[in-house]
Amino acid sequence: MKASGKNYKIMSTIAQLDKTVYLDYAAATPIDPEVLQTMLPYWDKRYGNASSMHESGRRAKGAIDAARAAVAEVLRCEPQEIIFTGSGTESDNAAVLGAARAARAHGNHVIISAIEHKAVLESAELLKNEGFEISILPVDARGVIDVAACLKLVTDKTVLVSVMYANNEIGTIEPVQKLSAALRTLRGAKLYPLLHTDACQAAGFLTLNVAELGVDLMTLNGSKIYGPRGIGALYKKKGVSLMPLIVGGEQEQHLRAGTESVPLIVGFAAALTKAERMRSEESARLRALRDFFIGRLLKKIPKAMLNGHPVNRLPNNIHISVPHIEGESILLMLDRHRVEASTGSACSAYDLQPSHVLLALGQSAELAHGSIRFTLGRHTTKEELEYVLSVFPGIVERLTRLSALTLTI
Amino acid sequence: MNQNDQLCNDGTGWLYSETVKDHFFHPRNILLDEKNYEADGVGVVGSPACGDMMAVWVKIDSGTLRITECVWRTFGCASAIASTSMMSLMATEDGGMTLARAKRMTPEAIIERLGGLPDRKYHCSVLGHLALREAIQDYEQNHGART
Amino acid sequence: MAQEPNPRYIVRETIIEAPGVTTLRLSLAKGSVPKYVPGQFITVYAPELGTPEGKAYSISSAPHEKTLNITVKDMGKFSHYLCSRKPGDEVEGSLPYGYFFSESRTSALALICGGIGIAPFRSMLQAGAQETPRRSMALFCSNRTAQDIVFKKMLDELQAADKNLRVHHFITREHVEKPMTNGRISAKAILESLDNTQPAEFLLCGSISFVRDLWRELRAAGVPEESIYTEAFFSH
Repeated sequence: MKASGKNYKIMSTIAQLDKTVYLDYAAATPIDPEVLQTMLPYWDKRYGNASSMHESGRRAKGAIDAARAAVAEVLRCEPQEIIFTGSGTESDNAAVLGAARAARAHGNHVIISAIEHKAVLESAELLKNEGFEISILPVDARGVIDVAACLKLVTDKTVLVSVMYANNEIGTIEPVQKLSAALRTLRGAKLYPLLHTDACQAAGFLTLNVAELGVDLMTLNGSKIYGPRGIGALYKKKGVSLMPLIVGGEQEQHLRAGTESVPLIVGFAAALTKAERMRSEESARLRALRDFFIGRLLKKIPKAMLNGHPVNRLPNNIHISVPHIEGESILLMLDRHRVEASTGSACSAYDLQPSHVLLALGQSAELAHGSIRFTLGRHTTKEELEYVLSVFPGIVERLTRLSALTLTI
Repeated sequence: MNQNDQLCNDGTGWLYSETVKDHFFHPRNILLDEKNYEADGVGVVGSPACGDMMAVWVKIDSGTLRITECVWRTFGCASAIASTSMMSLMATEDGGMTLARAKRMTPEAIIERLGGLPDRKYHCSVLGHLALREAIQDYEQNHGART
Repeated sequence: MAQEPNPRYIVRETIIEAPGVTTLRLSLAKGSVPKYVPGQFITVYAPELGTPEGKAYSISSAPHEKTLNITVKDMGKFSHYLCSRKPGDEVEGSLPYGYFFSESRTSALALICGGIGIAPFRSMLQAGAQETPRRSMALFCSNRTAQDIVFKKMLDELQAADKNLRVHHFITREHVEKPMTNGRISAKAILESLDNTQPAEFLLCGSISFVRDLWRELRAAGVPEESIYTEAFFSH
């Protein structure tokens, strides 16, 4: 593999700077320095418990109220419609388990898409043990749900539908607005079925205006928007009943007990506000980088295929499958070149299962093993992507040469 | 060896030993041109659906019944590639293993030489063991030899 | 590997062997059973559980029996699915496969297992009782409590009927009286029990760490690699 003059310069620059090219923003983002600053006083100076009656407590409560109002501002909802939780996973659990259990008297049927995050999938599995019936709404080869197909699954026993706003693996954006409009028409004056959406990956890229989206429940978290980890939020429309998961205190309107982490809440609000402010410009910037990267990648590796919807996908998501080679081995080689990404291959999963999202697309297990996800972020530059483009084809070639799947006898 | 084992048995992440990384980045005994290779025995195990597949070719000295060459191709993760590479090294070093000993090259033996593998990668070494076993079986069936 | 469709076994009967341990007695549609050698396993497939590659289970029946049995410990989604199969259910599986058996007809055998690792040894002991009754066999069987011992009754009966078979139970989490031993199996305990005049082969079957630790101990005690066979179970 010959390195052109320009490539060599990029490669040596990256090497000299002792730099890592981080392209796994969908897994974790570095905290924004401004956001970090807003959090600091709440660890040691303003450390009061918001439930306490004294001045310190009232100050903490004030900070939480202000944060809640800021989040509500982004979502265009009432502050009391925001519940803070410990993570996106917890918000998903709270929404699916909480809403279904509260609605038990009205029905026992829940619909979830085939590509939901495991937090939603496994919450639904748990509901099965409580007498709920779960229907899985399939997706097409690009990961998009069919609204008409969803409506056909709805019965008078359906209490909840959960479809994520944008998929964390393949980046496909779901027609949430269209779905909510159709569901609201279907339910007429009735309360059910409710619509929940996991918007953790969509935040910072797509509108979170809940009036426009028409959802009843929405999950958010801090770790994907350059905010702190260990904090999530659940939008719960006024009038929606939820059975709490965590009990033992009156916090969050008795819906999520536990002394609030003021610094995390303050940080989350600051991160969300900033992400919303940057949304239009950052989405455009990343979309351009994404399309540049995908175009070049597919040209250099013609046998690779892009997964997910080619147009209706997150601005920062590139997800490909490369036949004949395996994801974890690709990652390890990328890692040696200081490039960090992720894979849907079974070999790298803790439970040794291939990605359920890729299988739901109708992809073979074999191809799912050869998948790689690159996700861009605030610090991604074109130079970094050119570096990856300079090393990736060589990696594919090396692994293909030693693969048993390229035998010709 | 012990320290590496502890690193590798935590069940999450890579934390591969230096030996595993060495065999992954510099695999030994790959067969690039299978069309022009005449083997005494071939073994193929695993499947693409499983995410692990290995093809192993061996050449046996019919007099001493030792493995003189052991080459391979693998589709799979770093553990799978390193396991096949190490297996091929073990089979051919010091003049080559006798078939009797090669049949008893257990996953444990391969993992020990690799300096340990995470438990959830154990099956990669099982495949390495089976691939060699199949190649030897193929040889024995075609040559009526019993060791 | 063959591209033919996998055989569909029918569950003929299920037997509870011990708490959480079930034997599935299988045969093919017309009641026949594929050929196998004691020590081999079948791979069971249940793609609907999201595991395209299937899981391997040692055959616990002997070839002279009328069904092909697998003995499953319920410890995960897949094994739980199997343990809840009922007579008449279909199970998709492979033909028998594997090399976990002694290639000698005459060596003394030390069969060493932890927990459900006893499954392939039931096949070997039952077949041995029929075909090679004079062969010296010693079973070293480790469990947490005496209640966990799978096939206990069968082992007692075989031992009583055959003076060439000795069964040694090791119990690790509960206090027991002789003839059972308190504590884990060690290479020392195994080698001391064996008659040193006969060349012995060692078959190890159990969890990954059980097999690894004993393989190392036996090697460190001087047992040659050629004499050790291993089969480790990954939890399902």
